[in-house]
Amino acid sequence: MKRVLLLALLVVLALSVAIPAFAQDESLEIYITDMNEATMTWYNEVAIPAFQETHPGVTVEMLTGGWGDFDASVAGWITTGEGPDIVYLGSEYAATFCNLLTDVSPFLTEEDTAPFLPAALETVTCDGAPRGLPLLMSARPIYYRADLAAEGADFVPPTTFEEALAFVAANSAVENGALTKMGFMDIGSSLFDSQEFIAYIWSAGGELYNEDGTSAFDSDATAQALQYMYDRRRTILPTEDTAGLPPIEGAAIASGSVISGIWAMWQLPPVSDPIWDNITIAPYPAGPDGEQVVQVFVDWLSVPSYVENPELAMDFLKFITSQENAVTLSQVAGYTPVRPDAWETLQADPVWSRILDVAAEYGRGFSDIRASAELRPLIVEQATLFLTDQQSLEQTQQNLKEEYDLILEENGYLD
Amino acid sequence: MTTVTRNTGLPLNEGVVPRKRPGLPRRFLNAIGGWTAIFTYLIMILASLFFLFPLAWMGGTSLKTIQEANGSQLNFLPAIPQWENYAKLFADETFYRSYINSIFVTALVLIGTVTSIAVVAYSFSRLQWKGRNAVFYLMLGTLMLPAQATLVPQYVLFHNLDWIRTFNPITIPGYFAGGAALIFLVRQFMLTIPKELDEAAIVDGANPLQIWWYIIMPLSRPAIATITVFLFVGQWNNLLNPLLYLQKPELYTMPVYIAQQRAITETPIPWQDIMASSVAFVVPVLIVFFLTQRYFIEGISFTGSKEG
Amino acid sequence: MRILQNRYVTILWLALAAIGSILAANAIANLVVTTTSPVVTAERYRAIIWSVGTIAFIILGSVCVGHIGEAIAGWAKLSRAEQRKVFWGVTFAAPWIIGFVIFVLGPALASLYYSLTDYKLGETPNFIGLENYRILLSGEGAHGRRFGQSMYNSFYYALVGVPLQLITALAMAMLVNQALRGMKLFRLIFYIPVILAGGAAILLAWRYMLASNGGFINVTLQALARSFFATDFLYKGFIFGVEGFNGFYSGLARGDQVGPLIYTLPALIGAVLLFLSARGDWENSKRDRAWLVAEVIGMVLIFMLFVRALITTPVDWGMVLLAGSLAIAGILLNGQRGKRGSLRAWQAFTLIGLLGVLLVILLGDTTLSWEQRLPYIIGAAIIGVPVLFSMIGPWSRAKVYALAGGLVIAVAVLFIRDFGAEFGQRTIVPVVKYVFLGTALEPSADLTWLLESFPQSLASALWLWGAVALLLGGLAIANNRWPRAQRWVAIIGAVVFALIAVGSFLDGVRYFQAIDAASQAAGSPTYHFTLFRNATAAWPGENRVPLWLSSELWSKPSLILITMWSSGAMMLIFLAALKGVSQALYEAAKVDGANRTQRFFKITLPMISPALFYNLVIAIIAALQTFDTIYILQTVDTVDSLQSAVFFLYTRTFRQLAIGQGSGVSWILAGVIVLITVIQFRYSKWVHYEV
Repeated sequence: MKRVLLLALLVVLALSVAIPAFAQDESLEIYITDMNEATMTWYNEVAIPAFQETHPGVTVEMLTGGWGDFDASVAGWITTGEGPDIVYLGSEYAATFCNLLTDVSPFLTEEDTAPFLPAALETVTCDGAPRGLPLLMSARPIYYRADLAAEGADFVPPTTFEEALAFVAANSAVENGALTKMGFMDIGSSLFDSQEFIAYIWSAGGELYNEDGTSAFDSDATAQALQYMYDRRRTILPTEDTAGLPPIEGAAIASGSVISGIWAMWQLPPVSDPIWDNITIAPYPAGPDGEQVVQVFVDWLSVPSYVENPELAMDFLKFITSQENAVTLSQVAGYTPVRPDAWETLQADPVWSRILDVAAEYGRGFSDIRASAELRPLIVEQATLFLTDQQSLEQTQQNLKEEYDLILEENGYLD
Repeated sequence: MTTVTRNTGLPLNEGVVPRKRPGLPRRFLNAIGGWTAIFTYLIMILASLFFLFPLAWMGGTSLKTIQEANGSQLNFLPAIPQWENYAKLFADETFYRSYINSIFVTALVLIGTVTSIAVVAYSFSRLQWKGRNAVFYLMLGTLMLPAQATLVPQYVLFHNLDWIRTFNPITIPGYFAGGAALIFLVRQFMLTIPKELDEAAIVDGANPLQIWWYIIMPLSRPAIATITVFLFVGQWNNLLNPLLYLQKPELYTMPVYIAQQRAITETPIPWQDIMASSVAFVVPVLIVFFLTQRYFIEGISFTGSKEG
Repeated sequence: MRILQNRYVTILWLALAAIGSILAANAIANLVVTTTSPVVTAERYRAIIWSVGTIAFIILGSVCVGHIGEAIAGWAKLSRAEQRKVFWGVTFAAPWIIGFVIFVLGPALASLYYSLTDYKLGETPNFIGLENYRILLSGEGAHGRRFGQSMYNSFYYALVGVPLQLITALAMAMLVNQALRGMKLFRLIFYIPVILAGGAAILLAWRYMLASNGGFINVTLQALARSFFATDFLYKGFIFGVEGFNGFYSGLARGDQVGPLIYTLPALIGAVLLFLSARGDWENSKRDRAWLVAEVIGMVLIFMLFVRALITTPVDWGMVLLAGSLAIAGILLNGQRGKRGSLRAWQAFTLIGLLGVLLVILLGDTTLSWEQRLPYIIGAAIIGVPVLFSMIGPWSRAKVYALAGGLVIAVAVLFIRDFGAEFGQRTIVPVVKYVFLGTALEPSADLTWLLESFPQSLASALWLWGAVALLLGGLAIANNRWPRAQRWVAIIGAVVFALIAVGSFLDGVRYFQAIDAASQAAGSPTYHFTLFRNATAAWPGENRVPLWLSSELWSKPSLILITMWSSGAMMLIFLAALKGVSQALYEAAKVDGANRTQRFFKITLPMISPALFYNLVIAIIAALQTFDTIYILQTVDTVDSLQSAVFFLYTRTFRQLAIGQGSGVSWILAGVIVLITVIQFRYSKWVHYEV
């Protein structure tokens, strides 16, 4: 019996040694969050074969994911050093993942970067070095239903905080303790959004950081932005116990009960919808010392630091962001290219050209937000306390400033 | 069915010979169990509305057009049922692939987990050995550490085993009696089986393995059925682990497939497609549950042991 | 010797064979995978081959582990028969043991190590000792504060959610347990939410059910409320109650000063316990109960003191005495009752604790002077000497006296040190002031003065608990010796605690009003009881609806509603237990003239108590680890009021990449869960097992 066992064992061991790990072709994996089916098909059937023509022997695989599971997946890849070669990231991630991404400047020439919008390049840069290439941008202006506005034919988009409050007051209505008409809805539809708050600090003439790198949340601009958001909330919801609108599952702007708001493109009706004739597109209102802005988010493709062949990854990035492909993607996927030389087809569309015009004139990239993963919960916590009357304005500003300074210090931004 | 009648708290009509044939309404009332029963039914139906809401919503939405599914009106049912939604789904190859993956993974997990849990629970309940309680409490202790705490080290472990992008991280851990709460449940049940049975078998010269297979397992059927259902539902719905470890569209299970459907950004969101695949995903579970409930409702009594 | 050698050879062979089977599976799987396409088929083959390999591995490995167990039993000099039993037992338990070592122990140790470092993803970890724990437990900075709040939220789910969930599940089980037609179908319907859990459908359905305006639940509630004046009153009362309670709770969770109110609850519970002990005869069961209560209070206290010791450096020497006197009480009680296992456990833990303190004081903190160290050493001696003495030889009267002496000295020193003054100020003064002067505190508009004049010392609130534990324990030891004196001690104790409760409550309300007035005068500084004030200022007007997911006051109740909704698994367990209740018992009770309610409380509940206990333990653990639903439901407005400790852990680890601190959270949470579970097991006397 024992002899049989021994023999079996030896065979097994010999087998496991004899079967070598098979050499694999060079491969490239791309992880993209949020993609529609048409885009996926385009990648698989057009773009990848074209890339393989110039890079024979390279297999390219597309992986998709949602933002929901994104955090845990990325953590896994980075700890083990094995994961996709190209990872799709949102605007504020450059700072969060900074050290975990490859500095790709050796693979980029002046020529490569010249066509991109400078603001978009800024978004993909951390510690002075680019970490990938921008893929698309989405401007988030305010959309107004001019046809439904209480002002009627006299409607002009408000340009200051004061005018905006007057507009919201005229266009909101509460009946039986519940909202029936909402003058303004933000992207999260909860009347406070931390990204929007940062935009108002900018439009009030402020910045997030002082020259020495410390937080500037104690500025007047921050006070004005907070106060504006508070007043707007009170105008829409006279008391905190007012019930909201009935649930709207489709595009809120088409529901008729929402008169203005900030949305991402995918929350809006398709540009072919005739409703766009009634929609006015405008930048955010400004404070007394500031100028109007429009927030622009840039989604980009990064190369993590564990990638063994960053040059190949960069080749693919350059290929996919080339003028020709950018034009195609803007048609197939509805992306707004980050290189103006690919805007032509978009500008032919009346709606897109309006959005692009506003973005070009007022756009400001949502970039250089330091330690954003920790800043966001801080803003949400403190601002919610202020908006629900649990904390004074001064106290809110003081807490924001003190704690953000601590976070900045912890993360090595202040030396 | 006799077990059910035996356990009712209501008076039974057995053995009572009706003197006179009662009128039709009276007979109807008797047939369904009297006024108390009507009251009970009323409560149950009201409660059912509450519990059925999500399913009804799902079914309704799956038959809507995309415009209806995204409309602002609260409508349960579409104007015209769009059966094409299902036709489209059943024509989709990736749907089948994910579906089969789900069945495949669930089957493997069930086989391994149920057997190993039955074995381990047997040791913790029927076998007397020094150190048993210490090991048992250690096992209960594993319930206390949140799963998220070990997610990262576990990922590293599976990576070192070369298991990323295979089914192994989902299936293999189950073979090691995964699920302390379920071991606990089966153990509680096994404790109620009379000790005399084992003792008689030992006298006949049976070893513990034989006792387990010939005596304990047949008697533990309700408990095994219960944990099978719990495990089945749990594994069928498991999203986080497949999402973390499978990473390849070919290997996706149904929950990941549905999650991917939502991750794809289209305007407006194709809720009707998502709901159609959800219905297809849920229906087998409902059927399995309905058909098997007889086995595990038969009566798990929790009597027997002292220390919990 | 030959047998021994053979045993080791067997172990070796089995281990090699087990490893070999896995290697073989891997090798075969690789071979098959590389020759099969498409990918999915190949991977399915791989999974099957691995499964077979794993089964072989487990069988061989289990026998191997069984032999190892037997060998260990041999070293422990167990009898041959015992060794055989260990072999079988371990062999059958081995699938779990092996899995534990591979899949749980390693990762758990790794996370324990991370929790002692400042590990951030992508950076090298530095060892920082207990720093993460200190930050979290002391509520320092933004992370500490948010962690504290998330713990409050987790407790909310456990304390408010679990009972409601149990009641719902039991009610459902009793409904479907009736011998009526169609119950199978209803069973299925009640179980449906569990089957759907987490899917996209449920997300959408919840949103529509819980919409504040036009949602299914609110429409139903409003329709019910409008149908009848009494239901309208109930509906408004519901809104008022939920908003008031959650307003108050969110103030607590955000760490606001509650002033003297912090004493009310411990004092009240102490008074009730002692009063209950004073009634009737001290038969054995009552003595046991008294001592169990005392022991549980002692355990909780020592745990809290330990936590506090972690975050204050250096540890207050009073803590050593307080924890020590509780531990001595535990030793005394167990010794007197002849519970050797518990006695040894208490003795061992006391010594380990004291040793730890001495190590920290003498070696850990070198900046301390000898004068500063002296009180610790004396304190440790007061406790340690009698405990050491009690560990030598059998239990004797001399030991009881030594321990009691140590206990009395420790309590006396502590009382003189810091409790005397507190005690007077908190009990007698406010009661006298309130009764005779009609006012306890002049409302002051100066907020800083208020905050300073009511220092909130956790230790002094703990003191009340310590006193309850000691009194109850003392009474239990004294037992039959001086029954009369015992009753009087209990009554006097109860009166004193009642006074403290009433006094601190009155004082607390006044304080609350004063601080409220001051905060309003100061122009709304941070004062989270604002929510409570606003919610209870007026009776809900017409058209008020529950705001559910869109308000801080309703977010936690929404989440609980959803857990109640999907408590089908619990229902099944209850149902199974109900089926097991013998019908003869009911028949007998009916003959005795027991009505429905009596039958429920006297028969049903005791008979299904093991299932209730199982559900309770599992539900509390699950509630403290709530994650999925929060992940789906949270919005900007409600994320802070919803996030549980596990959600915080997730954010900290995966969003902010601070793996070190995230791991710290999980171990603190695990500690709390272990403590609660131990108490539940300790208190499971009410669980009725039919042998």
